[in-house]
Amino acid sequence: MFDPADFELIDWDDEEDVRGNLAHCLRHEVDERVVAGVLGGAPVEISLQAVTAEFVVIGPDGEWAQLWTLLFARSYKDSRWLRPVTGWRSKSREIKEWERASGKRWKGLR
Amino acid sequence: MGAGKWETVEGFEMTDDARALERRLRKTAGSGENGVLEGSGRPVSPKSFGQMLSVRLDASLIGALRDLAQARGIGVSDVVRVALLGAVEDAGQRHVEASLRTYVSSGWPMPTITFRAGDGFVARSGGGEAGTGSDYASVSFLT
Repeated sequence: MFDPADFELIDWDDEEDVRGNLAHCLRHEVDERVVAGVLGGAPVEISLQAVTAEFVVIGPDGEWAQLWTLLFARSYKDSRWLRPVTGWRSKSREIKEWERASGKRWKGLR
Repeated sequence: MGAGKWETVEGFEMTDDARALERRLRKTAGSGENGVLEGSGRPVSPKSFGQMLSVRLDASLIGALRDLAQARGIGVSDVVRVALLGAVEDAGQRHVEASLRTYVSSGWPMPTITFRAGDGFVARSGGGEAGTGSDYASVSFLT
């Protein structure tokens, strides 16, 4: 179960590391601001079928324009660091689950 | 996949295994529709995180940064933060914040940008002295 209090920092690899988490996430339009927006706004933890990520979090970006689904792992460098693994624009069923859990109605992009 | 799994593995092997796991996870997550388990969602407390930025630098640049940091009695990270604040300010960004962790005890004048109170810390603008009450200074500027 994801508890933000367990973590201190977001762990990104060098952007020039093409196999690193930052380069991968940028290819999916997930950057540092998206991660900050999702974790700092109205995050909801969900479970996905057939995906064994440690943490899957849905939330709006900082402008509340787009809901994002982000996968995280506890960093192998330091257990208090949180590593973004991948992410995407939330799909319709994920948006519904965010609405159900948060009690909010999503008015942004779908 | 808890952190403990990696504690008995050393060096490169640990890193390679962890990154391979991440790549497999990305492949699984990207292989079509991953149905959300209905009813699994639960709100979590929002939190603002610092973010680790990794940058490859030449040894000569790192050496120069270290010399500068030692001369000022501050950390290399704060030297980098101040330089980046200046670069962003020059580019006309409207609002940026940074936590300078070593300036408070260094006695070195704070950089000439607009300071804002935060976490019990009071700072002055225009290169004023750092205040007390926290182990770091929260710095921001508005243009």
